[in-house]
Amino acid sequence: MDNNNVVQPSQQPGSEPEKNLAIASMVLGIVTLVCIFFNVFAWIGLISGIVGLILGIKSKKQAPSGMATAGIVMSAIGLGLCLLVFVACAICVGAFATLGAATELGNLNY
Amino acid sequence: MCPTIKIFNREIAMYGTCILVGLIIGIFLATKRSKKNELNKEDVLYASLLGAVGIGVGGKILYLITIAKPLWENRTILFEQKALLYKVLQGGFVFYGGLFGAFIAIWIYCRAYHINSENMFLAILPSVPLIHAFGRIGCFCAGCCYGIPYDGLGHIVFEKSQVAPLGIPLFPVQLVESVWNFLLFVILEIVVQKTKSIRISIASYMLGYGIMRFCLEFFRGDAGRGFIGRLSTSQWISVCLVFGAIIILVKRKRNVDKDE
Repeated sequence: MDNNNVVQPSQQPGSEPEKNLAIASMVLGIVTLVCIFFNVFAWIGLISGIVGLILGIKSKKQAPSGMATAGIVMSAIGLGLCLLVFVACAICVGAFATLGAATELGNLNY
Repeated sequence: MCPTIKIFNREIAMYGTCILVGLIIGIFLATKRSKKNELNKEDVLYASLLGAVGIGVGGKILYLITIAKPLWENRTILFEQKALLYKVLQGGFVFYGGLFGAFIAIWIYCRAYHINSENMFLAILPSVPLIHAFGRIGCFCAGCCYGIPYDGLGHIVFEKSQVAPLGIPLFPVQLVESVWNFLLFVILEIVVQKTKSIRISIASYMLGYGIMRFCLEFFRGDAGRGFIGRLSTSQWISVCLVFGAIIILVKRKRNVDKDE
């Protein structure tokens, strides 16, 4: 029997599990973009962006859809912008120096 | 030098900006190499994006490992003062952790979707030193990862930085590493194109970066790095990289000799 023309259920465009993945990716992408505007929540944006990107790629590879593409694009852009807000090499080392000095003096007024 | 810039009335850290610029250019160039390596452009893009995530996660994990002792000793202060904990988590990456994180993320992607991982690494590898070069420019702007006191040719004096000692002439170690990474990027582009061998390309990178990093660590003046004995964590990893590269090259030569 020729199996070449048989379409696997997971490859059907818009099948339920892939559609759910695409929706989840898009929602997480939106959450990531929103987090950019709140400095304190940038770390939430980083986590939601990473998860959104992975889900979007998974969905796109199984059943390409516009929603999955939107999820990937929004998660990637959001991740990049959250990186700008969250990552600050200098601030960390400065904070650690403060922490070290304060511990030595036994007095932390940070 | 210039730790932050103001865009739309918001202070943006130059460190993150430089890394982001490096990532965008690096990923763009990796997708351009997809055709030469018989890969789908989309696959290279997704693998590169996941690799970028791997850089962040791996770099952060190794950083937390290197500062694990002070973190544990100050755990009560850190849990009491959430703002301080947030700031500690906000920055600090160890490049080697990022490198391994990216490698693992790309490898998992290739395995999950049955893509030739050797071709994928050939497409992405030359972008690694390029992204790193931009990252080091970010370090220079922020003033972190600074050099030892030095008043010879090409010394730099930081006037605005939260980390580097202000007003003291220092060795420009970040810029030297950045220039070497740009050179390594050009060398790797040529090696990948000429040899089309993943073993030679990876070994070239491991040798080129490992030796340079081992030497440059002696010129670094920042104390916030992990040390094992007299050598820093990065120097130990550099030694492993160089030995790894030698083993790869010797094995390859033996295989070639056997075939002949």
